[in-house]
Amino acid sequence: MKWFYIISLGVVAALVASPMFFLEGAEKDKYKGKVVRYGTYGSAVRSVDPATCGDTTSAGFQGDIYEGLYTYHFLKRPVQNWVIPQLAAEMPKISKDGLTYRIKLRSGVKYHRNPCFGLDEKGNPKTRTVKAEDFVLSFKRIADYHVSTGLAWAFVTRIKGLKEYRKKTRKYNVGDFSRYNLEVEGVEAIDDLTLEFKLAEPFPQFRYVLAMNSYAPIPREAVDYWLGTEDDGKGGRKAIPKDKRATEFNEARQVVGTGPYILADWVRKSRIVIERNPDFRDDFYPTEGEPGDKKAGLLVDAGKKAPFIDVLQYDFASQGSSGWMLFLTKQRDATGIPADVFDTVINPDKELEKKWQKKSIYFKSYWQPSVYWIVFNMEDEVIGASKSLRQALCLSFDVESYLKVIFNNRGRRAVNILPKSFKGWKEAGPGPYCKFDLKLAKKKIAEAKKELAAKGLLKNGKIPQLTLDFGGTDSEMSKRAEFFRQQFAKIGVRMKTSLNDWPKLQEKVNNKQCQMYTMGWHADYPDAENFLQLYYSPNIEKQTNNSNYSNEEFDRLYEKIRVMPDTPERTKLYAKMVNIISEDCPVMLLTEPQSYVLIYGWVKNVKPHPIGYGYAKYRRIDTALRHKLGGREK
Amino acid sequence: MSRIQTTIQTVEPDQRIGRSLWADAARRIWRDKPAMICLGIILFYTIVALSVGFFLPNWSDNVDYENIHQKPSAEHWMGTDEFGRDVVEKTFLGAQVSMTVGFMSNIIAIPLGMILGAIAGYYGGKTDDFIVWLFTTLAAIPGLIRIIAIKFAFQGTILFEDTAFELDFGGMSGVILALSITGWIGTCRLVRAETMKLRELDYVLAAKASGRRGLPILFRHIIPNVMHLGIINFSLGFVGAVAAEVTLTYLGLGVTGRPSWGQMISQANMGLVVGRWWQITAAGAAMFFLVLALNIFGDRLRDALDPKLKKA
Repeated sequence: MKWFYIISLGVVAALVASPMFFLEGAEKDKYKGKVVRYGTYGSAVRSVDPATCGDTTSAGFQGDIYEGLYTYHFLKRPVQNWVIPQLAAEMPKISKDGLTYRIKLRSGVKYHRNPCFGLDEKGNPKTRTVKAEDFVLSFKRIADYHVSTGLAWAFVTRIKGLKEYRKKTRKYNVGDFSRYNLEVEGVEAIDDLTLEFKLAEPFPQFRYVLAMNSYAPIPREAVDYWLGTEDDGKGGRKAIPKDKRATEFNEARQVVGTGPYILADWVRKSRIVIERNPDFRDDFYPTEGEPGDKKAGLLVDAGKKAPFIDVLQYDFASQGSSGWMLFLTKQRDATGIPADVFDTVINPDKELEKKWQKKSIYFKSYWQPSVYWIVFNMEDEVIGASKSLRQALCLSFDVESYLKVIFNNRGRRAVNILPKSFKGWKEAGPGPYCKFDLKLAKKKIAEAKKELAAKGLLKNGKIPQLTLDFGGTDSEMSKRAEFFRQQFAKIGVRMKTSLNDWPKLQEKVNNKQCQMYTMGWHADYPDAENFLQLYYSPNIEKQTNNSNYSNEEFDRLYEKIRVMPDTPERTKLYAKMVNIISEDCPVMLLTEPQSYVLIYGWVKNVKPHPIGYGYAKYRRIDTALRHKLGGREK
Repeated sequence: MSRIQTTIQTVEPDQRIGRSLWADAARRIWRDKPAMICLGIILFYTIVALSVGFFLPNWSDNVDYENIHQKPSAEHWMGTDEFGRDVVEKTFLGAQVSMTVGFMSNIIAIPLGMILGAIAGYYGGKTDDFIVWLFTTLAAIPGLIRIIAIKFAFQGTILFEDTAFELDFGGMSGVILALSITGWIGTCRLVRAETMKLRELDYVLAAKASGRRGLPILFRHIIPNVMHLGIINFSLGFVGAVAAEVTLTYLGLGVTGRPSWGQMISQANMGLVVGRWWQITAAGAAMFFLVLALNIFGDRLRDALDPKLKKA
């Protein structure tokens, strides 16, 4: 009997201890002999499909996996002058009328190895080279009625025949991929390596659009294999019934790009691992940069073959504190700076405090081409009905204090809907309601009450309680919610706040379920048109005009400027349109953000790009230095 | 003439006056110094919770953006918060939330538990089976997960919107609801067991024999005799509710739009890294004293209402 107890105890102890051995083993050999970069991400990744990529977090990861025809030079600025070929072999040949773009493709570019291409004799997934028809498919998917591609679709409606194609796809069953066999007049594969676009009207920003990863090539094999069939449980595949097929890639194994990295693992809200693509084409670190880049050590790797890092591992850390603690313990190579600790890291002169410099940490700060705002749903019966109410809310909000209390002065007040670096910002000047003026705000509230009373919308003689939705649920977002409530209380407006996670907010916005919500716009390309299209009324149905704003004069001007080349006349019209928005206030302008990133000295070649994605391939990790300074070994 | 000695018969007070269970318990508590100190603390918190709204009606808007995160000083004994507001005042306002949640959730949960427990214990049979099934099923789900699930389920529900009786289950009402729905189980169990014992006693059998029906027997003869269990559970449940509110708020599921201890603790987690200890300390200390007082008082109350337990 005694032995029974001893053995039992031993078995229990072994079972308890076993996970530790197994886990350690798994971690130990996982990245053996590889250079790994460790990072964190704070917002949920919504999409791994380029067609449905509509947020900066998803775009950030997709940039390292998928590639578009063009991209932006990693080092040179201003970005609008440095669009360069990526999968294209050269810049497009544009016809004199600006309506035809003929593009030669780079030859020999291979997709990530994937079972959709079949298996070789050893059972390993095959690959194939990129063809022009793959780009045609990607544009067809963007236009597909059954694929939720609001943002990407809005940018390419000027391609001939694409609108008609979209109408046709609506009639197809959701899982009937034969719709991808239909011809589209404006996107044509002339041969395997020549692609031609025909536009219905000039599109001066088209080259920027072609530099977006949303239009990365997609092989038809991936669509048919991953979306059209499923594992039959006997080692083969069987067709999925048409009405049960998905139209979007949403698993790591379904991702087939051409980029320097392969999506090896994606556990939602947990971990993303991307690994080096062994079939990646020849791509070399830039040999030229801006003045000062050489001194900053950004040309040390000039001409060397990229990528330099084998694996990028990102862990989800919704609370800023988690990412920060991982950085402090040297488990992560770089981090943003949580608001609570910012003042202890960056001094009032905007320099890194000495104690951090001693830890071999440096920082990069940069202005993002973004504007943060509160969007008013113009279709809401209260907020949309009263311009004076919207103006009053704008005037009552103390942006300077907001910057100080919430962002440690990381940013500046947005004075119109454009970022400061964009053409049209200066010409438009500050909007009349982009200031903190409580006296005027109270006057506007009195006017708002009259407007709402005339429409029978006052409740017991008061403005109804308003609801403000946020895209986050952490304590930082609660703090913002509290700040907003304080501001609006000053003019007697009752505000209810609702905290949502990021995908939930997007869903509510798309379904027009929000009355007011926090949002912002990060430029997709360096042209003010990218911001102005957000207020063009036909874009409501394309889900890019999320304020549901509609103004005939604005629409007329937009239709004029969207085909105009970059001229002073166009800039004047930009300013005029910006001022219409400043008067109507479909959004309450908050800030232009300034980002700060802390980086350990072992991370090389860091130069934040304001627009482009996919520069992880140029980063380098000095693993010896990392280990010496107490960081991870590999 | 003989002298008659006139004497006044003296008797011990205890023998002279019969006391009820409640009077006896009150007397025991009155003589118990630690219990009285704890009661004093609880009363202090109650008075603070009831009156702080009158003294600080616009506290949330009393911001001072020039003095955010100030250290404790003569002006602000426990420093200022992220909006420059006084942390001591914030802590008092937090008491309002905690006391409201503790009181309201138990005022719903305890009577519910007592009534269901008494019905199950008295009637037995299928009624008992159903109630036992209900609470064992609920009890099988871990406590915090149960509360979080209920909170999520009612997250977007608003009753009587835009009226004086508006109940927004996304905020404090939701916390109260979640704690009430889950807080009756322990009381129900105890009362059921006690009722099963009581229903066999002579006075209940006599009541039955005299033709009284079930419900009058329950409410006149059984429930008054298990009331002490309800009171004890109320005081102990109060502690659980206060702690649960803080936990839920810390997780972002609790009270929003008004100061609460959970929110103070949640918002101070990164502050600790840079040495801003005052907010979490104030909330932690306030919670500590309340929970300690409630725990001790609950124990003493149990001893007072059921002296046999103490002897055991």
